[in-house]
Amino acid sequence: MRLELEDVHHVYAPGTRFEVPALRGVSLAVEPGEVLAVVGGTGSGKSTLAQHLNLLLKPTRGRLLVDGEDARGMKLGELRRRVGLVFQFPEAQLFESSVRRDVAFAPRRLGLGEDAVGERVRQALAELEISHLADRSPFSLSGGERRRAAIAGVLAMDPEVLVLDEPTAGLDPFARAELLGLVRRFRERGRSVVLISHDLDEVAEVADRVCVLERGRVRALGTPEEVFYANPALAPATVRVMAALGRAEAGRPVRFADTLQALKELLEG
Amino acid sequence: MAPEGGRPARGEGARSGGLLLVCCEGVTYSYPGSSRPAIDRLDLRVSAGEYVGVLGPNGSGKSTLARLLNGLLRADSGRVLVAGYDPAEEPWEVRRRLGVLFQNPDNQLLAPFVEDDVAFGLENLGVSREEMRGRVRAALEAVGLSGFERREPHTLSGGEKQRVALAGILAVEPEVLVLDEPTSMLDAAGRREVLERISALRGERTVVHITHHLDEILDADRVLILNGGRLVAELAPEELVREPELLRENRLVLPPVLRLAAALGLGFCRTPEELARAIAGQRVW
Ligand SMILES: Nc1ncnc2c1ncn2[C@@H]1O[C@H](COP(=O)(O)OP(=O)(O)OP(=O)(O)O)[C@@H](O)[C@H]1O
Ligand SMILES: Nc1ncnc2c1ncn2[C@@H]1O[C@H](COP(=O)(O)OP(=O)(O)OP(=O)(O)O)[C@@H](O)[C@H]1O
Ligand SMILES: [Mg+2]
Ligand SMILES: [Mg+2]
Repeated sequence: MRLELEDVHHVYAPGTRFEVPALRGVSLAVEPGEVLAVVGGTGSGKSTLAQHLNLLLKPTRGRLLVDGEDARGMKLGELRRRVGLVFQFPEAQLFESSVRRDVAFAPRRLGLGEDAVGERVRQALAELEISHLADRSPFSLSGGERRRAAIAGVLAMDPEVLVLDEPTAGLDPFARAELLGLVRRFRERGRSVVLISHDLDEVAEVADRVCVLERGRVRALGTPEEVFYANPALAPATVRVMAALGRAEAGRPVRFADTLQALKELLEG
Repeated sequence: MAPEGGRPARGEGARSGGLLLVCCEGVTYSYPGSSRPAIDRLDLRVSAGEYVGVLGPNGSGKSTLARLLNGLLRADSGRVLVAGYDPAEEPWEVRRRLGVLFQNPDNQLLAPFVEDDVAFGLENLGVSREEMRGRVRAALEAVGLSGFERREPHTLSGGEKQRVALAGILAVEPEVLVLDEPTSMLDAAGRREVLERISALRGERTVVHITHHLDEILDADRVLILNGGRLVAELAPEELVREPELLRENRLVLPPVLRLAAALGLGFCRTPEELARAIAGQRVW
């Protein structure tokens, strides 16, 4: 599945004193099988963009294309099943009386049999390491547990595109690493992930491309190497180390393992 | 700034000016209906002016500790004292002195307008309207949200909400600040700003900083690690790098700069620039 935003604008509260132009002409595509990271400062429009990918928000101007076709021609339910969105605040999507019921909600709506639903729930809970929380109320969980429950709920829908809005905020470091593993496995199945994150170190590890938003516009879009080395002040730790060293012969590594290798060679060389 | 109340100091939890500001002794708490305690026989002491980092896996009891400290929850057994007061008995005395920035800014912003939210903590302090307005303005400016006074909190972005919540506690500047993942929704630049603002309070205020980002508390006086409701370690931040086993047991990973430094056999480096200097020092090009 290929998603494309075409010159999308979004204005909140138009015509009022608090009118906010949150997106101002964003064009980008999410290619099948890629991890596209979206980064940018507070209020730059990332969450607004995310909600356009399944038309939870409608563009004020511009359009969303799904495999080249205008998404307005699609059934909304169908679009939202194929594009799974995990919100920045997990509370926004948890509502059932138990974690199990919450995660079962979407697959049940797909009309799957109870066995198939049970299997999806089991898998999603296991994937997020929260099987032991299945019978708890989502509202009595710790912050990190709740986020994992919200992610499990969307995963159980088995979407073709996974849109994750700050999925690692509040996760402990092991859970964060495991989530990145989940993102990679998703990509290996030829599906795509849109990863919104403030943590550039994790973006460095999984992104195929990085989109930098600034005040509602795309300021940069390219491979992590292109984007981060063009502006090392806004780059992951690895790139900042390399930039501070200023040794061109060491190349332009971004990922941790590549950076370590390059630094070793530099020290031995 | 907490006004001087007429209360005598009690027990060892001495009042402001005294040494011990926060004291937990054998504190245990279980949520209703839960079979396992969320906080289990916890002993903790924080002195005035200290900066203490708190780490620990998801569900280890960090936020529960914050709720016990401000009297939102009452310990099942053991004793909690903040500036000499039991938070469960005298929550208002405690809340004038200890402010908590809760983990989820979404649940914390309740007022119709941003400015009311930021002013909320001041209202119980008997501050004049004029001073209140000034403090709200200054706090919003400190978090980069000047001009947001009349915005409705529910229309803010995630990071904006977190900044408003932070402004609320900065406007009060209580004696003790308990910050529960204060930067989880901020970008790198915003995080740096907030951390600088927190470190500007150093010595003047007592800070308990809960986080999953180890690099945020490398300057702390002390780091506590909670796991399963128990305090499992208490150490200086530099010692963390020498405790791979402890890190693993508590689902902690060193930040990339420290991991690179360790893998290259270099010493403790806090920033990419420091690491680059250490590498350059190893070699003459
Ligand atoms: N309201 C509640 N009712 C029942 N159990 C709860 C409640 N809130 C938290 N718990 C449980 O208590 C334990 C400690 O939760 P707490 O929120 O203190 O963890 P935490 O260390 O802050 O975790 P996180 O890093 O995920 O924020 C967890 O097992 C959690 O599931
Ligand atoms: N419902 C709304 N009504 C009015 N303005 C809004 C609304 N939601 C968001 N905004 C504004 O739109 C802009 C973009 O918000 P958005 O949530 O997309 O930012 P973001 O990049 O996700 O930020 P963050 O990193 O803080 O989560 C912000 O200035 C925000 O204040
Ligand atoms: Mg957002
Ligand atoms: Mg917590």
